[in-house]
Amino acid sequence: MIENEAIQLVVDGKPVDCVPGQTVAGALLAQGIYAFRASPGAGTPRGPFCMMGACQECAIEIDGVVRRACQTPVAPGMVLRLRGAGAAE
Amino acid sequence: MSGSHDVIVVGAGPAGGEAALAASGAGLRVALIDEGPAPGGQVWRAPRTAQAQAAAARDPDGRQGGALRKRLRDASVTLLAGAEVWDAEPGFVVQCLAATGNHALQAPRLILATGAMERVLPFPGWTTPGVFGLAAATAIMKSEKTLPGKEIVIAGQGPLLIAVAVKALELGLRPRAIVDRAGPRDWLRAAPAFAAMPSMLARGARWMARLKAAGVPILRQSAVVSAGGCSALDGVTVRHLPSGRETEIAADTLYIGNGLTPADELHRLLGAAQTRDRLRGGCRTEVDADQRTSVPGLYAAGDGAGVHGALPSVFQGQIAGLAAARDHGALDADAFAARSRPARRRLARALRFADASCRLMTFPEDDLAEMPPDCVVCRCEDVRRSDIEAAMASGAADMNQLKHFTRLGMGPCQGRMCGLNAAGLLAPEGDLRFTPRAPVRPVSMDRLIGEFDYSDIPVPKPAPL
Repeated sequence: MIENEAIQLVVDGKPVDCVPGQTVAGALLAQGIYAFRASPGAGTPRGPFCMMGACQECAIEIDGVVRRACQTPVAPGMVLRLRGAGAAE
Repeated sequence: MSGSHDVIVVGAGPAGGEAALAASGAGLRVALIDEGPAPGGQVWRAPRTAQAQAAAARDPDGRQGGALRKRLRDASVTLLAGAEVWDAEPGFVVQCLAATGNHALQAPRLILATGAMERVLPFPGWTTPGVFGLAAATAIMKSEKTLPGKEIVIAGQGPLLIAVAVKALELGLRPRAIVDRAGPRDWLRAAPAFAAMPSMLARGARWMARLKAAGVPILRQSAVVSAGGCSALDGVTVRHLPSGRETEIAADTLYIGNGLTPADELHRLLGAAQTRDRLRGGCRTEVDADQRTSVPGLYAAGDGAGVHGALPSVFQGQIAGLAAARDHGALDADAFAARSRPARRRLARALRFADASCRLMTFPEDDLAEMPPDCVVCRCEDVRRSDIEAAMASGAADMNQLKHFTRLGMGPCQGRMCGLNAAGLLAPEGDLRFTPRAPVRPVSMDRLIGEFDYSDIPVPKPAPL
């Protein structure tokens, strides 16, 4: 299952390289992307916090479905959309 | 996968993995469910990248996890990995969602080995991207052999601080500082118990020597009181607790943890009796010497029943698995006594070590009162301490009322991050919790419904007018 060839993801329209076996959260953090979304209440930037599926802070749109980035393994061609992170949207 | 088993085990970490193996070894048909992609839980988390796999082979936790995964592969245990348990009904029916859809598993016996979650004492700025739990550092290092950040600060309390700092050094990342709530006296008090496990004590001493050689400053009796930056962390303020003196440290990443608490949603949902116990992470599930809870057929082992750490969890898991086999009639009294004896002996010894470690990790409940009014308590719904106080002034006296007043605990984490902190603010000496309710994990309706079609709904005839 684990090979060494790089996998490419698409994050907000831009290509991002990552390593097979990584989680989506791990792949984005490795690129220095820390802000994943804005909190629905105050709209403040948020990123992964617990990295074990409990806090839900890393939930972003993965192939059209909101899922926890820290629990989702990367797959070739995966399309990710950050959710209003850094008040960018 | 849906169907009937002799026993269902929820959680495939040290406790649940061993429970499943013990029960299966005694002849029971065992279903083992875990949220993660592979067994191991948090402490024996499976490496996922090629680099992490190579590193795990050289690491004691990595090797133990590998050994557990191999034993489970060789055993006749039905493993359902990557499955989130969202409900457990008496009797027992366990509902879980996997990539393959929803599964309803049924068994007369259920062993809960759900592990622990991390607690973090809230401080202004703890929602800033770049602030992570301390256990998050171990999770990502074990599975991916990377650690986000260039200028990192490691803060909180307990032996995990040292472990994370050393692993960061191994990745070529020198922490800017370790900020430890405990002082030398707290560590000295733990020393005799740590000496009961010479191998662990030796590992700790080696780690301390490496941190010293690398020149990593350890700020004792100190805590991070605020984190700066908006969309990215730019620094932390550290307070020396006895003197109140504050210093600023530039950092892009903070890993912080104040101990663990049992992930006991299912225990509470099924009505198992619990006792307040700060040493065990706030609250523990009452179990007898064989890990039976107050609910017939329900067993609890490992940190999910009360925080003890990985080693006691192994032995509690073995005892729970054998007890389930005994109660099922697969073992007679003599066989049960003989098979569980080694685990009981080792458990007693492991507990001495664990208690010392748990004391260092006891959550600083009293410091909740020091939290500034504008500090966010409920991350999901942006509920601040001042909102909680306004609700209390308006008459909110328990957790469910607080939820109605403020939306605290109504976000996707379902109160996991805020529940105990809010309860501590609401009634420091009380034992307030949210009412446990299914689903205990967020589940999306479309996945739950699966292949459902409107024409499948049985429509009763309309009542005659």
